[in-house]
Amino acid sequence: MLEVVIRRVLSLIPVLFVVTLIAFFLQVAIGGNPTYALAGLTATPAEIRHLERQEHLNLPAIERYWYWLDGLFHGNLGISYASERPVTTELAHYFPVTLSLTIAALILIIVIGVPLGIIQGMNAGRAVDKGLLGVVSVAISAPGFWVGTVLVFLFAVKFKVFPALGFVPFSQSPVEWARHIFLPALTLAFAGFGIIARFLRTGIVGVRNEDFVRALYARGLSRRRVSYKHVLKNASLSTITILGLNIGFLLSGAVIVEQIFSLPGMGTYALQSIQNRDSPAVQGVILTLAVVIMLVNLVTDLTYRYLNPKVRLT
Amino acid sequence: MSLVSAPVALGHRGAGEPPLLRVGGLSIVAGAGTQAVTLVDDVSLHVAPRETLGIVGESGSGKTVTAMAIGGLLPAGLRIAGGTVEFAGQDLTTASPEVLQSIRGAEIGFVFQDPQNSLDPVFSIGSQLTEAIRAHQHLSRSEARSHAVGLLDRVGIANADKRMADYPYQFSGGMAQRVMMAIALCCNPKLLIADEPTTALDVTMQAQILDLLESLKVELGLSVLLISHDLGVVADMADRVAVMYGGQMVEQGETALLFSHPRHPYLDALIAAQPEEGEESHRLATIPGRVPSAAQMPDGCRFHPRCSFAQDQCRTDTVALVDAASSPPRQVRCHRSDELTLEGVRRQRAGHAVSPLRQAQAAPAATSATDALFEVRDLTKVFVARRGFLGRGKYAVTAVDHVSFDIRPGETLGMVGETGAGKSTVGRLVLGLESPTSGVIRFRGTSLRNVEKRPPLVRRDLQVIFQNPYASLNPSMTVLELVAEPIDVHGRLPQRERTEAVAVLLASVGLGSEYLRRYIYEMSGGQLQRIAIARALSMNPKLIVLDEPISSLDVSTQAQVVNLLEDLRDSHGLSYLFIGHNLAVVSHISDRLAILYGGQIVETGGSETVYRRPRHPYTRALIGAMLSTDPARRRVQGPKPTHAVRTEAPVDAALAAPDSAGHGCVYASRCPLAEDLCRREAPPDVVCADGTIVRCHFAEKM
Amino acid sequence: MSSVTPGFRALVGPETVPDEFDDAAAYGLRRVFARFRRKKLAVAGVVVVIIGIILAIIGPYIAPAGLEQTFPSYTSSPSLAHLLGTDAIGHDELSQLLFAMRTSVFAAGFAAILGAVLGTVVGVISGYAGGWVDWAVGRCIDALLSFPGLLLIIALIGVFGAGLYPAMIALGISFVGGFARLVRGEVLGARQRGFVAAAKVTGVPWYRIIRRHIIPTILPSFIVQLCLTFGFALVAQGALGFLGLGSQPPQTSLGAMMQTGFQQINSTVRLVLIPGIVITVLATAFNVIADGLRDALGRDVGVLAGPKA
Repeated sequence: MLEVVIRRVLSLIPVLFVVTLIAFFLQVAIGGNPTYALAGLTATPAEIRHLERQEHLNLPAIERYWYWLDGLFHGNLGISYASERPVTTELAHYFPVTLSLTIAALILIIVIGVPLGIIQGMNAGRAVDKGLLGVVSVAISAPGFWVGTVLVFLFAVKFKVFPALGFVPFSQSPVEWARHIFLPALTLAFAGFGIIARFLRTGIVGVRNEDFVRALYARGLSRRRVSYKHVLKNASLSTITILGLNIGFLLSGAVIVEQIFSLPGMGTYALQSIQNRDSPAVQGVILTLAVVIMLVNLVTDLTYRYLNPKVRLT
Repeated sequence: MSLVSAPVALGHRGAGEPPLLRVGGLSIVAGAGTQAVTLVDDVSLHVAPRETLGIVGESGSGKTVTAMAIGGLLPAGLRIAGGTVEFAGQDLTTASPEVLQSIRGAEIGFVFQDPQNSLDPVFSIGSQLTEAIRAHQHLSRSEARSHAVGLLDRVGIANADKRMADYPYQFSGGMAQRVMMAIALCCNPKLLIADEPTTALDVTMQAQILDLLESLKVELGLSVLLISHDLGVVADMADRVAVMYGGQMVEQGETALLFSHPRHPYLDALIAAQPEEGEESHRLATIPGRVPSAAQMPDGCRFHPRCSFAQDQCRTDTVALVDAASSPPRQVRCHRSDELTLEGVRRQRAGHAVSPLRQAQAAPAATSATDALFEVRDLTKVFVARRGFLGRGKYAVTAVDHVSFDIRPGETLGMVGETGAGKSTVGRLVLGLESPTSGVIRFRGTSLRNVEKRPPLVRRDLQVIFQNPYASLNPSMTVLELVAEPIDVHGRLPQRERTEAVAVLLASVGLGSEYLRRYIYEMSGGQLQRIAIARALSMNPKLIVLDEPISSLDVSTQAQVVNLLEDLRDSHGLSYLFIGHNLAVVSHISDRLAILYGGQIVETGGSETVYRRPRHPYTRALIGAMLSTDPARRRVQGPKPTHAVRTEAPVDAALAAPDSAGHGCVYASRCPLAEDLCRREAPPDVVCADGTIVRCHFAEKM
Repeated sequence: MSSVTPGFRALVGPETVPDEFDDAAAYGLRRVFARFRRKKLAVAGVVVVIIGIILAIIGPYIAPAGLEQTFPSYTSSPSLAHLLGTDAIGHDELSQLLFAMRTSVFAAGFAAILGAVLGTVVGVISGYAGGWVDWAVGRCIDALLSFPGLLLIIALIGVFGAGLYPAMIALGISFVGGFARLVRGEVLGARQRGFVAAAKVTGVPWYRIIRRHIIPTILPSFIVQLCLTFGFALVAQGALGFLGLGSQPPQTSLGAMMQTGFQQINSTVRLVLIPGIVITVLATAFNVIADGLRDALGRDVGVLAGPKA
């Protein structure tokens, strides 16, 4: 198993390489001129030239890439043009917000989606399933941000149960954190739990049609045992994969959700930076999130391999 | 730990006792209302204690559905529409789900066709076995576990204790089927329902499994309901036989009697369609037409469109199942059963000629003067798989190991081997779909390389027919387009001539021009294989590689296709490389045989010679494992592979084959005659007096 | 015939009855249509989509008011004069909606098709060529798909600049990865099919193999994916508009309408609700069609076991 882990990690390196290329390309393409931002409007030409040399702006792109890559290895993502602070520092501010939002959403997805999928799968074809099918379809298709606005209206404006905006760190007050994060997380989770429910349902129905299920009944096992021990375990394997892959969508959707609920997260930061043509910041956000997604996919893949005996050692 | 209840004297069936299982007038229907289709129609049978009843039929006969219905395992959409199923005095059709659940496993055990698909892939077999045990017996975990280990040991799994933690995919077909049997019998049921238990297995494995079943049967005093399309299996194992056709029972009675003196033309025709010893030079008897679909049953007697004895009455009047006046009792469903005298296996025993076709076999390879059409020399294919990372610990699988053979113009070479022997790989290498690790392939003197690099002329003259016609024909193309493709590629024809050419080709394989615009999903496997043949013929090839072309077809259809292939070969002057696993059929159609084991050819010679006088221990094992429909001829004795516990072929037979670099005989691990010499030194190819070449240290002594 | 006894039925469970007791594939256009037509939900989806497209085309012509026309009463409730009321600036909501639908539907459609075409070309080349080409392209696809979708689009918009057309192209590019991966997988699968091997042996040249064997085999999955992508594109386009990155005023899109509506959320939810409903309905319709297609095209359009002869 260890060999599999190592091999998978090694296989990520080329992809990582291309990822850095793309991130760098974006930075160059977005451009933006750092000099006035960093040096101020009153900078002298000498200061400007010095700054340009320092930022390697006068070199051809390829060489810049290597300097940039070197910086990466040392944990340096560059200096934000807008705030003049290291990008890493900025990210350290914004990332925890997005992280807690994503985790909360993931919890909601599992808590809502998994039971939903199981109920549908075990009762496939019956009224319960058909009814829920519509709900799930809408959940998947509805634009998350629209759902968010409706939720804001319902729970924040009309019923005033949850706050409409703002973020409270968990360390400060868990209860307040939960109150503030609930609506955003639910918004983000909306499409996610629909996808999980549908996937689990399809998986369960698919497994139930397999030959070995008939063989299990032939041994005299009860319906409950066959369904909840054997069918479920088989169906849940691929569902775990989907869950992991979903995280990419969650991070993507976080952008909008943060806008709606005014959460100071990575998405907000990214939008700001784009508008300011702050390319190092943009590159920093994108790169960080891409690496996070790659790591999550790696963990998901390894988990799947560990759980599925057939592919454990390949 | 022993499973034995009361030891039962061999052959003592509970004839006088009430039957253990009695099915009366069972009807099973699919769908509802106007869409309803009857799959099983008024079927009655019974199984006495300690008796084995075999149910024989082709696909569409309803045999599997009947068996599933008995166990309460019908899938959704199918239901019992009438009749009773009485087991040990209880009517299962009205029983509650809980009762059925308690009977399954405890009183009735099941063995299915594909063992890999009958085990949950994500649980170890040990846990599944213990689960099955504890489902019906109050045992603690550890008690159940040791019971399970004992069971595995009894069914012949080596290292049973260690194997408990293994997963299904780690077992080969034969081993997995043994596990299935352990599970099926773990709670000492009275009845075992086995649905095609050996169909998916190689013939030598089949022999071992049937032996195991036989010994378990005796030890446990089991009744067995054995379902199979293979007459040989049923003849070997069953005390009584029930023949099903089109959802009905058409004949039932004692096995030996039924096979030697059948009363229903269908059974007679089935027996006749089996290729048997002494018939190599004759055409296979076929049953014209094909099995009707449940939705379109013929009127009157369901078999009449295919019956050579049909008369007006058969076409119009339905037939009832009648007790034929005889003792022991038998039943038959035929209007004319009293008048007809059918021959059954007696035909074969007498070497009765159907019609002679080919005369003397072609002379063995070594002495022929004409140039070979196709030559293969030292063909080797090694697959490299990585175990360790970064290239450490690679291991090599030698799928094809220095194989050499010739094919002369007009000659048919049959290549026989079981799973993992490398025959498909040989096929792919010959066709250029894989590139050899070493060795030469020559076609009419020219060396061949990968398929893309071959000159067009070669690609025209060397065609292929694959095993699964559903996979080898593009479902998005019409029959016309499929057959015309080679024409389109090698020399376009204007539209009218193209269509005509295709129509002619279809006619030559026995299909009318109404099929031109059809899609393949509307047609049966046998028809599709004909289309594949038509396509292969379109370019007038010189050599056709046939890779298991009939393995996925019903027995009666197999005979049709084989006869067609033989006719076409003679009329077009074709050469064939016929790859298969059924020695009887392959030797029937071939002039020469090559027996493949572990990637090596262990015996080559004229097919009749090899078939009648096998020399290599493996060939003998193959022939010894073949089953005859003549119950009087129990399995041919010969040196069998030694007991499974010690010499079971591991998961991947090719894996076990030692690298040809200087290790011993490839068959040494399973050979009953093996000695140290065999494990040390690779055996030479010994040329025998009649031209057969045998790769064995002891070839002289055979 | 007596009906089924509860013992058997209850145990096995009421999975949906298999379609037509035949397990052949669904090829043949007529058959696919027939199966599709039987799924009422999917047909309803088609109807909805058609209506949506028609409205998108003729919307601006039947709108009661002009795009920039304002009325004195703003944020008023629905009335006879203004069927959907007016927005904060005084535009007639219904007219806005119609104009916005045209923008959104066409932008989404364009982006989906752009992504589909580019992605498919890449996928086919990569899948069929195999070898190092496939490996390299595969790594690039993996890298592309590692970026969170919306963020990538936003970054690309940062490169191209704001506006409807740059946004459409950016959106299209974000779909390339998904299509490429899907098509590549399908092509790899198709290459293993027996009929491709048979065609090779017969001497069929590679371009013909791709055209007549590979493409028809991957077509079903492609169509389903395209349908789903139309849905995604619509939603994503809305998101971009909501963030102000899509159409620029005075042009409006469904997302932009939602943004302006969101600012009024404390007084009325109608302005946010309506464009959102339109997006949801259309997106759901596309998803439902995709599901119906998936079923109608056959469970196993891949390897067919086929009944014994």
